[in-house]
Amino acid sequence: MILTRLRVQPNSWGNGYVRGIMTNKKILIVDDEAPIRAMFERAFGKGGYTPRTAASGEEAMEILKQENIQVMFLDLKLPGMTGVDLCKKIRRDKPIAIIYAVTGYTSLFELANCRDAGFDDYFTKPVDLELIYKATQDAFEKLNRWKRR
Amino acid sequence: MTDLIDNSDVVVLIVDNNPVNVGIEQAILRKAGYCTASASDGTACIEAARKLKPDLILLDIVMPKMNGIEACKVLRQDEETRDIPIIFVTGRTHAEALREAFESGGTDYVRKPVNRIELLARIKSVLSQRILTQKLLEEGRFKGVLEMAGAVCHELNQPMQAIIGHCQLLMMDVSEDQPLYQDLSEIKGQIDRMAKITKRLMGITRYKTCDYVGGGRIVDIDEASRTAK
Repeated sequence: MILTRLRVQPNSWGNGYVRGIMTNKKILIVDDEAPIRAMFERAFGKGGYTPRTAASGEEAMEILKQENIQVMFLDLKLPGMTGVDLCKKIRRDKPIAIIYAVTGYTSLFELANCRDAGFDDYFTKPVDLELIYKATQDAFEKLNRWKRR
Repeated sequence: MTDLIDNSDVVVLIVDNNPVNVGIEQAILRKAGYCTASASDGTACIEAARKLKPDLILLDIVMPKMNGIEACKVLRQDEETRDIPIIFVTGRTHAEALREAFESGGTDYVRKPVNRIELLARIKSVLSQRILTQKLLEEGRFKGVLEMAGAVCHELNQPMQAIIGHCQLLMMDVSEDQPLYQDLSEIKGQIDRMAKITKRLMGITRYKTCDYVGGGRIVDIDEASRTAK
């Protein structure tokens, strides 16, 4: 039922399209698993967003140095720098960025850490694309409200 | 502590070459509700222990053929009998004899002639300790199993994320009346079902097992996740 809505009204997927023109709404996806990065890349591309992907925290920091990205989905279990550490680092430079945690295993300890690190919300894998689109749309709307101030 | 033990389920093996001593100990234990068996020397004790797997052995030290100390050492080396608590029943209570008894693997001792109250108190104490030790071991094993289950769930959630996402992407491109859409919908439904199972598994903090085909037992995930905190 949810998918029907998404399928017949593609322009409502995530507000990435405005009157058929792709807007420059960049999203960073950080996950060490290539199939998951590929899937999210396709999904966000299809939603009209401009996805960027990284396989590690270090790679993500490099991308963020080059590009202004304000919406991010970070896996918590990453090789080297963890998703929690990465979020803390990003927060220093991007206080209003919307950063979501996406995790395969959520323990209470992890959740408390997520909040302290500065994540805005978290999703447990496998997460429905509709939820991801909704979160992305909310994120850009929130960023727009901040910009208008 | 008392609640941990149902005496009627406890089998005590009494080992003494003197039938009078066996009779006295047997009478005390049976009156307290324990089940008993007996052997008259060290060799017979080992045979009976392997066969009966008693919950406790009351072991005399001075016996013909094989004495209690030697029998205790043999029992401790055998995987099947090494965890059975052994209380030495002995008249030799000087320090050197007791040191030898404990070093051979004895759990405790009672003096001869046995006092009913002391004997029953020692037995209860040893059995309670054994039950608590077993519970701790079981909890340790269970903790390990839970940690492994968490890791397995994490590993399963990763490919499920890719499958469910790709499935949804395909469904967006296919008309709802096409058979392919129905097939994709079915795949998505099954992945959702798997995801629910992994989520329930990760919420388990204690478990119960239930009967499974072929006489085996499996963890009842529904029951375990209902009782999860």
